[in-house]
Amino acid sequence: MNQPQRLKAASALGHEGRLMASGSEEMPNPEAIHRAARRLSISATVLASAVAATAVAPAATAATSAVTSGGIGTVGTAIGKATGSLLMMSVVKGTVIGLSLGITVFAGAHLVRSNEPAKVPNLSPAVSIVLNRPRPKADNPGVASATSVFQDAVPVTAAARVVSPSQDSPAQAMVTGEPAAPSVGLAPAAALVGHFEDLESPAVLPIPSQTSTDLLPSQGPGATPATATRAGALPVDPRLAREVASLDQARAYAKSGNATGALRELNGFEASLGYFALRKEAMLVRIDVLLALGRRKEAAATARQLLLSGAPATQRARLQDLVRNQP
Amino acid sequence: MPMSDAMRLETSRALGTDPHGSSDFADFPSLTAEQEHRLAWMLNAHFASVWRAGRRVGLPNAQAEENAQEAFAIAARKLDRIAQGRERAFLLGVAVRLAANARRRLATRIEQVALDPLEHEATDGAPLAEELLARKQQRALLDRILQSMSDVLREVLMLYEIEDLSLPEIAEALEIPEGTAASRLRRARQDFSQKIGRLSARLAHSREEP
Repeated sequence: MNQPQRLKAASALGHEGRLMASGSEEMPNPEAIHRAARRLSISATVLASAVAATAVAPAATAATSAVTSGGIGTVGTAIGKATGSLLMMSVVKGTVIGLSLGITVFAGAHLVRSNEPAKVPNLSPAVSIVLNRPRPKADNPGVASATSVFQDAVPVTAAARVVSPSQDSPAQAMVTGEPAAPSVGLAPAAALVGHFEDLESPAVLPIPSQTSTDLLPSQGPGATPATATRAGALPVDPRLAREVASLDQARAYAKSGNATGALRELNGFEASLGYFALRKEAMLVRIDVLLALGRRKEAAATARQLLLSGAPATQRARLQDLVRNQP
Repeated sequence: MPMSDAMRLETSRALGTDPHGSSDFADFPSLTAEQEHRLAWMLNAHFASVWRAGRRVGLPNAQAEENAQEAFAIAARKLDRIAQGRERAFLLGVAVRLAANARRRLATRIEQVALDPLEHEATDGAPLAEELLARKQQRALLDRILQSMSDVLREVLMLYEIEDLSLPEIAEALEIPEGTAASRLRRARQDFSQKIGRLSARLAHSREEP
């Protein structure tokens, strides 16, 4: 079916087109989306990952609409808008590739030293796939080598999926002009901020390579050498890095049986700076710590507070149980 | 202060308790992690469009936000039935229906901004302020015209011209045949154009009078 040209896309924008454009320009208060997320019980971390996943979409949409409208001036404007996002994506791509190469070299050196079959614990699935892949045997070593390199490049790894041109990726969005569809657990920001469940395991937080102490990962009992090797992935908001470090520290204390230390860590951070992105995760840690200390009533009160502010969907049932069964 | 019914309902919903004090109250579905991610993505990608759907119908800011939240809540309940790539059409279809109902129910008074730009010229002469004012007046004029149109024509015009949905998407969102969507769009454009013409003539006439 023929699609009539849109009024606001007319080359010589008339009065009607300007009116329509003014209608498209109106935007809600940025806080409104967070209020909606809270009401829908979407955690701030999940929303943050969705924001990151669609970060390049506006540029793609702007460019596409400009091209279809045929206005050179509009195209120029769209290109201007798109440049920032494209630059950002290039930086992310470069960082991911660099990180992958770095880990591969590190793993290679490790293999040479240990003289053992490829088996690299504590590395990303990407590296595990690359290093554990059986090398094909061929009469012609050159062919074997080339095949191996090609095959090694094929698997879509956790890192590569972020930038691969799949249907769900931002790269595809650049082509189609549609916002990138969600890719569960694969978006960079999802890895950055993660779920509470993600934080339960050793930190999977890529830390920027800057030497600023603000950006250093947790140095608490939970910090491992593996954490340090993950440095240099993506830029992290210093406040977020501090929050992650603080939560890591609190959880490490809790795991080592030092619930009082964990509570002190949580209280200390909240009193000094307050949590801005991982507040709900901090509340979940606090609930567990309070339960470990036998302070069930306070844990139930915190759970109630968390439920009212929109608890993560995966935790809701547990928290509701806690509230209902409070002493 | 006594808790209102709405607050009680909201609290009960969050806590998973019955607002009347008995068993579980499970009105809102528990989302899986995957569903939560999808909903978050939809929220981030389409909230503004869904919110605007309420605004263009004439809902005040807060009511438009409430309308958008309700549309997303409905989407959350029907998440499994929304095909990938059709989220925007689904949300806008729900939002325009909700907004039309809300407008009728609440008999919302439309924010009236003077249509004559000369009456509201910026006093400080700052270009930005003038530009903002001009946009606000354009939006007010747009809303005034849209609200004078019938629901069926306004919905199609808004979805096509403002939210850039294609005709097949509009047909899907409003659950009407594509031919009907195209015919409504044609009529809506004629109606819109006539109304602008009449309004412009009236404005010109009022300026000439002392």
